[in-house]
Formats: sequence, C-alpha cells, structure tokens
Amino acid sequence: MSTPVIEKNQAMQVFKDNLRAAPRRLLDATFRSGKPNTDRKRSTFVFSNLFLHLHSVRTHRWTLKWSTTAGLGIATTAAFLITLVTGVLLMFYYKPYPDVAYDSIKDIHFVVPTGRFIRNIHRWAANVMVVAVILHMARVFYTAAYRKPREFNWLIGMGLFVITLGLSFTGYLLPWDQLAYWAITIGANIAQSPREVTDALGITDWFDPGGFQRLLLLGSDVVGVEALIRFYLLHIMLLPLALAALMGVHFWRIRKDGGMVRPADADSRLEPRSSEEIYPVFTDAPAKTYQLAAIVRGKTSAVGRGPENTLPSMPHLFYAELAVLMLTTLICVGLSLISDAPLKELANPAVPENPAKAPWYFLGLQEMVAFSAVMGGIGIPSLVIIGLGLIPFLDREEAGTGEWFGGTGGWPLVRKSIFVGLASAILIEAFVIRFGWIREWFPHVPQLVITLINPGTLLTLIYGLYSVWLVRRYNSTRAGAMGLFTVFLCGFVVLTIIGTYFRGPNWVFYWSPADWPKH
Amino acid sequence: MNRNKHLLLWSSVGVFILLVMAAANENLGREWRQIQGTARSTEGAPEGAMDVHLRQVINPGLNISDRCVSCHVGMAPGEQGITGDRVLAAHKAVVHQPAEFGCTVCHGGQGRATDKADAHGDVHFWPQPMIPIKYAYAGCGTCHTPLKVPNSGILEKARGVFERLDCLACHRVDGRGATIRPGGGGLEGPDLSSAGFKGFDSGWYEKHLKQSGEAQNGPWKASFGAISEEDRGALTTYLSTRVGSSKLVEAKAAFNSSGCLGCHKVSGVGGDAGPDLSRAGEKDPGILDFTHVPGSRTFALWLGEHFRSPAAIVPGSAMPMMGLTENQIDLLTMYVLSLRRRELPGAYLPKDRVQVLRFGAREFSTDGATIFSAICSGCHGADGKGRRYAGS
Repeated sequence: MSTPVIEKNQAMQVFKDNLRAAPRRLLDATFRSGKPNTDRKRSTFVFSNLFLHLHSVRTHRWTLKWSTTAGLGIATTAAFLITLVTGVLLMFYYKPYPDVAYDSIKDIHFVVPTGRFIRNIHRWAANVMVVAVILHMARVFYTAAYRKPREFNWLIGMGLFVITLGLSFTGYLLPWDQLAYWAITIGANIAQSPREVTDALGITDWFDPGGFQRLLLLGSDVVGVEALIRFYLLHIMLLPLALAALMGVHFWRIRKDGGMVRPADADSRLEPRSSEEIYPVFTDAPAKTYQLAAIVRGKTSAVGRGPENTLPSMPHLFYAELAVLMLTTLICVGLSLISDAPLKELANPAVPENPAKAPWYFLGLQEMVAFSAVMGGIGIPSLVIIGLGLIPFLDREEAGTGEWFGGTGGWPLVRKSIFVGLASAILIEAFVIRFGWIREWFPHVPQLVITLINPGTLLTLIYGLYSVWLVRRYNSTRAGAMGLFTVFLCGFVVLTIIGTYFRGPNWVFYWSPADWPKH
Repeated sequence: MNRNKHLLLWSSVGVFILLVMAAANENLGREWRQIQGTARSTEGAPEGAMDVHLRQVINPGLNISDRCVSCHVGMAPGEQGITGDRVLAAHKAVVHQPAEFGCTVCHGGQGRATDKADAHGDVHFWPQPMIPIKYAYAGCGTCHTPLKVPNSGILEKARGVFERLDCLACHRVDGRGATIRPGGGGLEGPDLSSAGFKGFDSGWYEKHLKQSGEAQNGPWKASFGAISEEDRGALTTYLSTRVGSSKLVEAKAAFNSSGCLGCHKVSGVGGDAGPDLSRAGEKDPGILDFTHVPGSRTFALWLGEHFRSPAAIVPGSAMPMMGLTENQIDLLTMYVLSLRRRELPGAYLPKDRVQVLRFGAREFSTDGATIFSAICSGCHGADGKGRRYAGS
C-alpha cells in the first residue's frame, strides 16, 4: 500500500514544480533563443522569427546611413499599415450602399467615438503612401538600384505603385459624395475613351474595348450601386491582398538580391569605426558549416572576409525601421489633427460638379485628358509604365550603382534635365492656355487628329527626343534614362500643379479660385 | 544607432501625446457635452433629469437621425425643458410630435451633425441649411401643400366675414377666440385651426341654425343668427384654408395675387418663361451668387433682394422688377422657402400632396378672380388693363 502513496506524492510534486516553472517555460518557448544579450543570440532571434527573418541577421553599415534610402520604402510600408488598421476600424461603421454610405460617413464623422480622427488618419496615410511610393521609386532610380540583379524587383515595385494608385482611386468613391461621384464618372469615361479611336474609325459597333472597360469598372451603364460594391470589394479585399502579396515578394527579393544596393567600394568609403565598437563577432564556435553557400546567389557569404562593416540587424536596423514607422505615424496623426478629410454634398447624378477633379495625383493625367481622354488617360500612362519597366533591361551599365545620381552625366545632367522638363511643360501649357489648341482654330478637324497631336503627346515626344539626344550626346543609356525619368517627373509635377490650383469650371485656366464664375 | 534610438523615442512620445489629445478632444471636448452640462446646473432644471449623454430622435421611416436634441436637450423625448431659456426650452405644442417626426423634416439643417454650425447647416457642402425661425412654417411645405388657396384679396375678405360674424366667440382659430366673455355669452366650440385639412361638415350652417332655433337662452340663442349665402361662401373659403399654418396660407395667397404662375411652374401648373419653382426652396446657398446681396449669406436674404431687383442679383435675368411692398416680399420669400420636397414612404405621404401629385388637384382656388390674379395678372395687370414694368 505504501509504494503507490509515495508515487502519488511524487507525481503531485512534479505537477507543482511544473506549475511553478510554467511562466519561465512559456517565456523560453516564446523566445526560443534565450535573452538576446549577445550578437549570436540576437542573430538567432532574428533568424528564427517569421516576421523578422525577412531581414538578414546582419546589416551593412552603408545600408544604415540615412542618405542611402531615406527610409522611404519603410515609410510606404508604414503608411500602408496605418491605412490597414484605420481602414478595418472604418469598416465597422461604413455601409457600402448608395446614400446610406454617405450617411454612415456622416455618422463616423459626428458620433462614432474618434471616428472623424480615424477617418482623417486613413485619408492622410493614403496620401502619404502615394507621396512616399513616388519618392521611393525616384530614390531607387537615382541610385541606379534597379540594375542587375534587381530588375525583377523593380518590376514588382512598379506593380506596387500601380496598386497603390488603384487603392487610392477605389477609396475615393466610397464616401458617395459629389466629389467622389463625379471623379469616378470621369474615371469611367477615361476607361471608355478608346471609343475616341474606334468611333473615328467607325468600328465601335463590333469592336468596343472602351465600352467593355467601362462596363467592367462600373458593372452597369451608370455609376450606381454595382459600381460602389465593386469599388468597395476592390478597395477592402482584392487590392490590399494583392498589395500585401507583392510586398512580401518585394521584401524577400531585397534579401535574395543582396540587400540594399551599395557602391562596390562602399567598405573603403565608410568612416572607420572607433576602436571600442570593433569587437569579435563569432566568439562561439560556429554551429554549422557553410553547406548552404552552394545555393546562395552572388558572391559567397562572409567567408574569408571580416564582418567589420556589418552590424547586427537587431537592434541597429530595427531601431531605424521603427523610427521611420513612428515618424510616418507622427506625420499622419499630426496632419489629421490639422485638417479634416473632405466630404462634400451627397452624390447627385443630376447636378454635375464643375470642375470635377480626381485625386491630386491624377490631376496631371486629367490635365492631358482635357485634350484627349484616350492619350492622356490610357496612351501616355501606358507608355510611361512600359518605359519604366524597360529601363533596367536597357541600362546594363555598372558605373555609379548605389550612388545618388550615379552613372554618366551625374547631378549636372539631372539639373539640366530638371530645367528642360519644367521649361518645356510650362511653355507648352502657357501656349495652350494663351492661344488654345487645334480645336479652337479649326472647329471641324477630326478628333483623331487631336488624339494624335495634342499637348500631352507633344510633350511626350519632346521628352523622348531629348532622352535619345542624351544617349547619343553622353554615349550612355543611363544618361538617357536619367534624363527621361527626370523630365517626366518634372512634367508630372507641372501638370499636377496646374490641374490642382489653376483649373476651374469647364477646365478653364484661372489664376485663383476667387476668379471662378459664381454660377 | 543612438540617433535612431532617440528618433524612435521622441516620435513615439509625439504620437502618444497627439493620440491622447485627439481622444480627449473628440470625446470630451464636444459642444453638446458642455451645453448639457450647463443645462443640468441651470436654475429651473428638473431634479435628476438631463443627464449628459448623446441624444437623438430616430425614425427609419422618415430616414432621420436627428441629434439636434443633444444640444436642444429640453426638446429631447422625455425631458421637460427649462422655460424661458432659448436653447433649453421644451418645444411648443405641435401636431407633429418631435419625438416621432424629429427636427429636420420641418426645420431643415443637418440632423446627423453634432456641432452647431454643421447642425444648423451653415457650412460648405450642406445644401439645406435650417429654415430661418421667422419663416419656420415654410417647413410644412416639405410634405404638405395647402390646397384651394385664393388670392390675398379674397382671403382677407373671407377673414373679415369670419371676424365680423364673431365666430371667434365660440370657436378657436390659429390661437385666437373661444374665450368666455362675461355677460356676452360665448361657448367652447371646436377648434377650427385645421378645419381645412381635417375637413368639416358641409351642413354646418343648417345644424347651427337648428340648434340656435331650439335654444331658449344662453350662448346659442344670443350668438347665432341667419347668415347670407355670400357670407357663407366666404366662411367656407376661410375654413378650407385653415390647415394649421395661417402664415404659409397667407404667403401662398400673396403668390396667387402676383401673377407669378404666368411665367413659372409649380407642381406642373404655370408658364414656361421662367424656371420651374416646384423645388425652388431647396436651393443650396453655397452655389448662389452673393456678391450683390448685403448682409449674411442666407437664402432668405438672397430671395428678398432678388424680388426687389432680379437682374441686379442674377445678371441677365429676364424677370421684371415687380414693384412689391416689403410685406409682399416677406410673404413671397416665405412661400418660395416652402417649395421643397422629401422622399416619403407611403404611410407618411399626406393627402394634400397626394391630391396634387396623383389627382391633379389645383394648389390655388379655382375661382376666376384667383386664376386671373395667379396667372394672367403677371402680364395683364391686376385689373386687366395691362401692365408695364419699370425699365421694360
């Protein structure tokens, strides 16, 4: 009888010990590599964590310099995360049905606790995201980071850029106010604009891609409940999922392509580190051999080279990333306290907004659409996208990779291109505003002529010729690409500013909204 | 690393401070909270009533969520209000209970809003600001339209007959009458303020005469006697225009005296020379040109100036200067403000509107004099001798 009693007590004792040890073991199980108090343990910590292991465990000091990336990629990601969180919160109250949608936004604005604030953050973060993604693209371009082996990631990045604009555009309709309704009407008409060509050729009856595109976008002949549901679904599900998936690929490719781009002589250009910063990294014997090195692309890992110019990602890189995240949040939150997201009158199909303006980043396109919808809205943007996509495959040079304005021509070429880009855009716009265009001179000219010859196509042609001239003049594709990117960026800025600040009712030029006619 | 660490610390601190600020401001700093807080401590506030919380009147049938009662807390359902206080008083007794019909159906404004400027609609992008309290009864026009309204002359005459025959001795109309006078008889008869809307017995005269004949003494004997047929006609006209808002009827009578329908249409009746006025009262002040209108930017003021001199307010307007008196301008302003519509479910659609929209009933009285003054007089003059407008 006595033996089982002792066993029972032992079991109870074990149970008690386990219970006592449970919190410690929970911590152990969670932080499997122990307290990250040595570089080795920190590396293991990053390595064995699903969310952190997108980073390499050590980061080059060049990458950590603010001038390398300015944190723009992380800022874009941060803005996306902010829109994601605030967007989900808004979905609790938003009702995607015409008229009811408008009322629900009013309720969010007036009675949902901090609803107005959350909607403001959502709106501002979306705008910050668009700005950040454009700047990020410019950074990658000007540091020639798209070059081999990063061509594919450049293409992924372009996809992310397009989806970002798509997310903004679909979100624009959801409040169902006048602003939204008429901006989407314009968008739908741009989708229909291939009819400009098919009508001129007289083939619309049996070949109508424009009408099909419009129907695909709206799900109906008019902007109504189908369009709203469609845009809602795109905005809250399809596009965010696509964006998140591509973001994953984008980040993963950064690692696979060898981390952040840096000049070949980056090591020698970094300031030497102070003596107390230099300490041996691999104090413990390596636990594994380098068998995996056989399948790692590029130069083999740090065999035979000291890791002196790398730092453990944890905490150096993480502090930098979190700092950018919090700075982006600070900007979005600060702007949200200053300025409310717009909400105009309830959408009214009978009363057109005049001028009906798209979101600001589309106003450059709308400026060109004013002349020809199909060229301004579809032709030229497609050309730009194709051109951007081709750049890494045309520029196969190596000089200047990883340096700001690196490559043939350098900053002087960019400076010259800024001047050319701004001047030609402003001059063409000034000419059109002062003297009008073909339609004003010859009222009966076929639309096809204007489709082919309009300020937008003319500007594109000038930019294209300038870039070809640069290639010949500097005997370098990089020089041509740098010129082309710069002039298009300048054209975008000029057209956007004119579209935003100087266009009034019927898209007529006004120096200030105060001069707009009152009726 | 130190730099990034500090950046992280300070930006986090900044975000935290801004979030706390926003949370406090969005939740505690609301205007209605302060107003309700004051209401509780105002002298005369009922004990234990008016606790501070967001209030609203909801009626899904009318599609309203009116939060006006969050500030006008005395008008909230279940509250008694503080007499004498402009904001906190209870609503005066009306046919349409505010607890059911809410506020914005009659008064306009933005019911969902909880800030004063937004709620009163004095903001950009809210096309329907409140109807000025002076013209409050124009709000009836949202659902109702007084039928068979004669011109001002006929209406005044009918009122005169009603007063002269001393019907007010026993009946109450628009808040007057039915006061028992010492020695002079008098009796509490039915209130006739809504007789035109609710309908009245067409055999009233015979019944009155019979009762008066049977009476030996008292008010029936002393106060009632035979009435001529012409006077009876005037009384019928007067009664059929008693629809609960005498000022609106008066305004409509002024409209029916000014020949406006010669050029303008209302509910499908009238000329084509000017714009259709069926929903003119809904005009968004945000899209009106106020450059030539002195004073504040309200639609009522704009209308007044427009009646005085149409072409000065709307350049190129073909409408002549009508030479109206200030009183007429006031009445016409009220009438135009009443020209509004609202999507209503069948259960709420009043019969007067149904009669106009579905059965083609005329909104003006169909006697010759009224038809002439409402339509023809615009060009032919009030007496049919022609009309010349200043400057034309």
